[in-house]
Amino acid sequence: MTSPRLSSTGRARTNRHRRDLLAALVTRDVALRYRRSILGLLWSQLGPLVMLAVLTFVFTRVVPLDIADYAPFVFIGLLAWTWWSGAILTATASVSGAADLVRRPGFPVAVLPAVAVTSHLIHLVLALPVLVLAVVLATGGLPATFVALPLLLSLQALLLLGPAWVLAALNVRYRDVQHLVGVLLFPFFYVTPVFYDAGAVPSSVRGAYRLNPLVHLFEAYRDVALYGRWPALGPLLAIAVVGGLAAVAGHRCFTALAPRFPDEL
Amino acid sequence: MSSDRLVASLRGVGKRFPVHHQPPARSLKEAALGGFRELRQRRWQWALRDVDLDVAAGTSLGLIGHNGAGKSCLLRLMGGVGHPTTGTVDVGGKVGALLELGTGFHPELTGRESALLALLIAGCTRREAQDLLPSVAAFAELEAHLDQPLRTYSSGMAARLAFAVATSTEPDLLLVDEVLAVGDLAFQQRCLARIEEHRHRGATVVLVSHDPALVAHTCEEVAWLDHGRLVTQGPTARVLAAYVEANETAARAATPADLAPVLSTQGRPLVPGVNRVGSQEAQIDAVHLLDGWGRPATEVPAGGAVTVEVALSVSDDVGGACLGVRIVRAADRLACVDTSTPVHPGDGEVRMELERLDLAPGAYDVVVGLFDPSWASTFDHHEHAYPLLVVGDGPHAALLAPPLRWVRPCPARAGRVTSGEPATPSTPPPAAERPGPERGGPARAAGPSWPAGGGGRGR
Repeated sequence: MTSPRLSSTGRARTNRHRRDLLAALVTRDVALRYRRSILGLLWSQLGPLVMLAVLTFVFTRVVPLDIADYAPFVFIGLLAWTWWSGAILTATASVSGAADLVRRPGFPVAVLPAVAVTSHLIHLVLALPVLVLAVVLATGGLPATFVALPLLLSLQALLLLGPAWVLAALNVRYRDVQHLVGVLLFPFFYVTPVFYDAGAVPSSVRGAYRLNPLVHLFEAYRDVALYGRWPALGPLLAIAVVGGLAAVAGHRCFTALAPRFPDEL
Repeated sequence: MSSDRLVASLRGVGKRFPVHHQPPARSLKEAALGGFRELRQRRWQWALRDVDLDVAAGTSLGLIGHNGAGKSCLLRLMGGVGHPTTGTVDVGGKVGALLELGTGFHPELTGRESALLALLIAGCTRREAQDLLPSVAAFAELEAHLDQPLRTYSSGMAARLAFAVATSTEPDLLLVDEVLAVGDLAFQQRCLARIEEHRHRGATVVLVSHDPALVAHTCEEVAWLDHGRLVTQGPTARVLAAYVEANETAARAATPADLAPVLSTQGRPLVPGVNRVGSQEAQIDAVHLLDGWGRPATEVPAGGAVTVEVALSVSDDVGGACLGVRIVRAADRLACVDTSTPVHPGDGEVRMELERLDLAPGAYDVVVGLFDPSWASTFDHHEHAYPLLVVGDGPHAALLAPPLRWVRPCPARAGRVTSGEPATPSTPPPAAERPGPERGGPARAAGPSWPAGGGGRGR
């Protein structure tokens, strides 16, 4: 059976189309979010700023954690976590909420979870100036290792893709996958060093704790963006391998289930 | 493009969907509580069964059938959306689809953004989309509104934009679902013209419709689906005739047995099951034919104005209906005028005003029908009940008598009859001197009709 394709001019064009489509859908998401608001894109800075103020107040004054430069410290964790949880939640509902696109001949449905991951990355990138400001105010300068940030962001994107595809596919059949995800993200938040330092975790559970790839990723973020250290390579390589395998498996799972989507929406 | 080459070939295609007596398990909890019973013992309903269909390159195929006959399902499978449960679907070439209007549209996006996004969704790369944008805007006649958000568009404007996008990509196979019904008449005409352009380019068109008239106009070949099975596929005229006849039989069967015969507003008997058929869920109460001056008339001058005034009862339960008015030639039932309009509950009276009826003098019959909004079933249909006589002189043998005149620009030749010409009187009276029967219209065919028109104007 030959499946209908949009183009007969080969794989290169198909790939270019996917890329362009991804970009266009991400642009739409980002543009729509702030359209018709007076402050527009400023909101993407204001939200994190308020969170930053609250967390900094709570964990330096109310429950002091004794972490140096806490404001940029927590802000890094906050940005990365907001991306992680937002992307997972949006991706889970991305296919079930786009019945019209799923039923369109030739539409590459697998692009939808990727759009969710990318859109939330854009929001993180838009908030980066605030991070830079926080780091500069706290430490008096920006470490040179900051340039490694894009690499770490790519790793997180890779790590997100696998779960995004699987959860999106499952949510088409069982709508409460999205609620389950919402519930599970709550404990996930606490086993990830978002507002505390991973070193504070008791050594008795540290082995299990460090199985969470986000622990290493978040430490690496803080190394390059705040402490001016090059991160440990071993865990990052492991994340790349695990993330890559998960992405491939997730995509396989998604494409295997995709022919059923039109019937189930 | 060789007509032997197949663009689509379907073999033994079946598609089934689960039917649930209770709402299906939409959650893991429900599925678990049910012991995943639902996963094992599902009841299935076949939307399509054993369909063999070939679509040759360059043809236009119409898919007709009632609601739920599987037309849209078949169209989707041809578009590669989902897999058939049984059989194979082979489709070659670039597929363009007009299944749902406005995919990817969002009220806050501007027309330009929407069009670009929709083009990308339709399979274009960004560069191709940008190249196509001017022609899309031109076809949709929205150049001036391109940077306005879509929420400021009327539904007609949005539909034009969606159609322009869908047909701008030069597909090899264009799949068109029942979307043309949304727009106004002018929009439909433009869409049909656009589909025609694609046909001339060599594209293959598969069109789903309930409307036999649309299919007759657009398609060379028709496949008729009934309850998921292919009844027949063949030349349009043959299949449509069979389809229309089956519909009439069904409408006759649906006519309530206790409906009493009545006289039409023109005194003709309306006998249930004979010349009045339909379920009577909505009814045609009265039909008045009016001439150009608004007076009740059974005869009108050729080229004159006619108004068909229909009094209806469409209840809220029905929700809406389609009113069709057709003028057929009495002798051979040839449809000369065929038009329809949606009607809504509470529309007590609807008028079809025909500015000029340029039909040759003779006996005609006004046929009025009320159908459900998808044209799937007949509510009330009156035939042989409203005769209309078109009077005047003119070429009786022909169908049309449009305004025309003979001109002799060179007086020297005026008296000569060339050998190839029929024996027309050589000097017809100047057309402009004879007042036409219509109100202020241009002068009509003035000469006595040949060969035996009776001469003179007869009034």
